[in-house]
Amino acid sequence: MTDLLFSCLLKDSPMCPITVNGVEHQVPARLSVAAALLYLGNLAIRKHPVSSEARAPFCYMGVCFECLVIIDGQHKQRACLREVMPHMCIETAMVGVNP
Amino acid sequence: MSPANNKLSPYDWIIVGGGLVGASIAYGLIQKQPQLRILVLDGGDTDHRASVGNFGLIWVQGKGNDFPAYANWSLQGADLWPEFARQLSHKSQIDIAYQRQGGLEFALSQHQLSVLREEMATMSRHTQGRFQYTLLDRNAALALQPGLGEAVVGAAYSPQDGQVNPLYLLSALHKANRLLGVEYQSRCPVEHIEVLEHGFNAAGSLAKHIVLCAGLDNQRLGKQLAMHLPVTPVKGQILITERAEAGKLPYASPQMRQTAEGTIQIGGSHEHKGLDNRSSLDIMQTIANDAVTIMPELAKLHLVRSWSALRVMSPDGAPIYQRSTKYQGAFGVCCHSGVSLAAAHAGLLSSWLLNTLDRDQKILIEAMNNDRFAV
Ligand SMILES: Cc1cc2nc3c(=O)[nH]c(=O)nc-3n(C[C@H](O)[C@H](O)[C@H](O)COP(=O)(O)OP(=O)(O)OC[C@H]3O[C@@H](n4cnc5c(N)ncnc54)[C@H](O)[C@@H]3O)c2cc1C
Ligand code: FES
Repeated sequence: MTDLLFSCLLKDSPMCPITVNGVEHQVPARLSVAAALLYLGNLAIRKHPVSSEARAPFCYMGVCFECLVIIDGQHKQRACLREVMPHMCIETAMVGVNP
Repeated sequence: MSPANNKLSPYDWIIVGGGLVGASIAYGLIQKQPQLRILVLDGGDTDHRASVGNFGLIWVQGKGNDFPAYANWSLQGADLWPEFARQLSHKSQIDIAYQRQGGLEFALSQHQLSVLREEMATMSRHTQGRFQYTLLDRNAALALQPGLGEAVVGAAYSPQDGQVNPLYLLSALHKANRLLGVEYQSRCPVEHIEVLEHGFNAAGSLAKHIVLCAGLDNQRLGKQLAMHLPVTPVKGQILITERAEAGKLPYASPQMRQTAEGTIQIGGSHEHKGLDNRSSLDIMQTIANDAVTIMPELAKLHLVRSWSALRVMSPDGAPIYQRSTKYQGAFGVCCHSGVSLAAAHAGLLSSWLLNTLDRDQKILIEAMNNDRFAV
């Protein structure tokens, strides 16, 4: 229950296939979508609607709404509250931005 | 100086309550007379605090329709805001997101529109034409706010309304006060105020003057200083949407405003439920529906937060500025529009407390004492 958040990265974790912006990737199973995006090297994933500043998941616990992505066609999903599932299809508003 | 030493020599002023009212008054006092020793005694974080749950409007429309002094006071307060905001942001280095782009009060029926017409005309009369407004038919309202729902038949617009981030306002006041030398103690609820020969003892600290700014607790504390301060809680519920592009709602209204961060704040409920400050689904649905009736496209936005808070309400909704006639140096301030009037409290009201106002201003403020509730 109280495993470290990223303990799956330390052991030989089973991998999970997901698609991010149309590209297939393997990420450790049991990560949240937000953590998986970070694992894949995506820092910023969207723009602030007012300032257009690059934004990234911040609280990882569902309160800041900085991590919104599209998951399997459903808009405005909080990436930090969803666990990766095999063949999950994730789309981010900003692509490949690693400031 | 250690706190123990401080307690021996009396303060010039003790302010009971560090919400918007107490913090604005302390800010005004210390700026006018920097040598004053001022102590703010505040309660704890679980107290009812309108100052951290409000809507953030600096509103003039409809304030004091049946109370000319309050109408003039609200307008003066709003007119003092631009300079107050500039100075406060400068002193505290906090951007409080003050804007005065004007506000809209929507009418959903011809009857509501004619009530608004009456109210606006009355306010203009009370203020000798200084209150500015335009009554808009549906097309004129649409020109200002595109996307209005079918049900909106018109609106009243006043360029004198504005908005601010009320949380930044409160923390800017506290920060500026600290920098200017006001002392502040939190988690220090005042249970009992002892009247001394030349002053007061509150929670072990002594002062020559005391101002009660304890929000809903003013009624209880007022009695100890022979002041009738009738305030009751009126609950308001608020919803926050996800952030939307800037400019969705260029003008604030009592039902909705867009914050500088992009979220849209929805509110406008009034419930008499005592000290119960819980949110409830039925009221959340009602205010969400009302907002969508006015602006249908809001239905597309997700809600991300909700809360409710208790207004500090006097019997007629106007502020109470009271001087204790029995105990010299004791005052009580109760105010439902503590955001709108923050500049007036820091400016004119603190001069009233220091007894440095000219006659006309004094008469205006004293028209809002509790004599009007006499039985
Ligand atoms: C939902 C809602 C929406 C609102 N919208 C607006 C708006 O848009 N525009 C506007 O102008 N106004 C608005 N208001 C009103 C505004 O928030 C209040 O007028 C203002 O916050 C009152 O400030 P206050 O300092 O008197 O009270 P409070 O914020 O209640 O502060 C009282 C302080 O006193 C302390 N205290 C209490 N008892 C004691 C004690 N015995 N000893 C020591 N300390 C004590 C408390 O801890 C607290 O810090 C709104 C209010 C609500 C609830
Ligand atoms: S990271 Fe804050 S809500 Fe997801």
